[in-house]
Amino acid sequence: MTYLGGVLDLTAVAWLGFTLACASVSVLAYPSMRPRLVELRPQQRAIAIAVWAALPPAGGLLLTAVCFLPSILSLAGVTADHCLDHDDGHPHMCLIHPPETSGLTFAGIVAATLVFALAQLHREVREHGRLRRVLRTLDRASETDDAHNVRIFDSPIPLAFAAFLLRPRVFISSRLALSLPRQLLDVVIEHERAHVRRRDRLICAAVSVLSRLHVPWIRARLLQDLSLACEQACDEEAAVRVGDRLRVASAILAVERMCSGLPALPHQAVSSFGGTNIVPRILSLLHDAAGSGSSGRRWTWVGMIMVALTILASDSIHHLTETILTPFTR
Amino acid sequence: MTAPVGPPFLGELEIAMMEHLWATRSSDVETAHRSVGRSRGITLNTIQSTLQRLYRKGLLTRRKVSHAYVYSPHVSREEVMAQLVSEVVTTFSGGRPEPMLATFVDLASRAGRGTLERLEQMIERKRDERARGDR
Repeated sequence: MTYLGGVLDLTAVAWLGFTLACASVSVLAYPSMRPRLVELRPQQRAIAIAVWAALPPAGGLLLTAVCFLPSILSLAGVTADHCLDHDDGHPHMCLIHPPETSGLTFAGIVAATLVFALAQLHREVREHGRLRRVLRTLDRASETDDAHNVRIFDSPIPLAFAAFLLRPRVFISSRLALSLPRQLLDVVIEHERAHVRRRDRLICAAVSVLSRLHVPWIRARLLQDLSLACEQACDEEAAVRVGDRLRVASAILAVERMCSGLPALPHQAVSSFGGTNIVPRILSLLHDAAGSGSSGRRWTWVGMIMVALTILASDSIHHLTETILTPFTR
Repeated sequence: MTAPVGPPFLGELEIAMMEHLWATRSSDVETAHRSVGRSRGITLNTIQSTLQRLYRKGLLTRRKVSHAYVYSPHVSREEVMAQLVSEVVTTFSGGRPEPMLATFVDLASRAGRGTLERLEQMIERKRDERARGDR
């Protein structure tokens, strides 16, 4: 029976509750926020989606920290001891007067979180381990094009991709390198290099892990939206490098036409207009600039104001959380 | 020895050995060592164990000539590359975003011919508008 156990127990229960609450808010809010996210520049949209993906665990941490803010301010001598104002009928989320408990609730929640995290990690490693070994073999069997610093591999399929998380590399198939006109191939290479510069693979992997606390269908939508945002951000970078947005649009169309001549792949679907990600990418390139910077600044302000309001409301959040936690700690 | 069912996972030395055998069609351990091992400072034993490993993976066949094995490729370079690329393409075509890699165009869904035509027309129209604006 320790005071530390009491603080840890309340912290763990509060974080779990807030995390679940943030995931629930996300289910309700994300579908209506999506059209507004589309207004953002692709680079900003990718950041916004990554932040949204991290919302349940990060929001849980922020709100839990806010719950302890009144007692932290009391400890720092900024405010008077707030615990003297209320009775002992509920647990105190306080560093000065925490309830005496064994810390077993904390230990249980930490153990459950660890088991969940390890199970997810095992799943990710198993899913990606085979692909990583395939890519490493493909990398070793490829030749380097020194002029463009890309790996060229023998294949009749027109493929171009950036792969690997920590040391990303660009791969181009021999078919694409030989068949695509030089000025369009330059676009493809610039697009893939942009993925490497932006560390998109690493960011997508981090988001894939962080978004595990969302409900599955929201998570799937977040990952798809992030994927499109990354592709469009790389289209924009390629357009700046080659100095022609229409050339980037033409390159996407040319590669898509080459792929449409291939036999159907397993699970592959033929999409109607708008069903495949090349449509929003090309439509975006046909405009002079994708999204607006002012929307990005507005979202940053909204985020900062929400964090500020949360901190200002710390006393109310603190008391409300204590009241909600009362039945769970008796 | 049967050919491997899935894509082979090969190390750097294994790839170099396969490249040597694809080029020469067959080789004993000593020839392979002269060609691949010496420049890398690798011993004859390492070359021998690498060839045995490739044989066990189903990528090589071997026959005994006098006291030594002579190894030959059991699969062509094209077959190995096709298996590797097929694995990558299958991953993409699953429709689930894959954090480790992203292709230039979405392999999970193909745009129909009508969609491609419409996009082509839109690009051409924009190009014409731009040309008129430049004049």
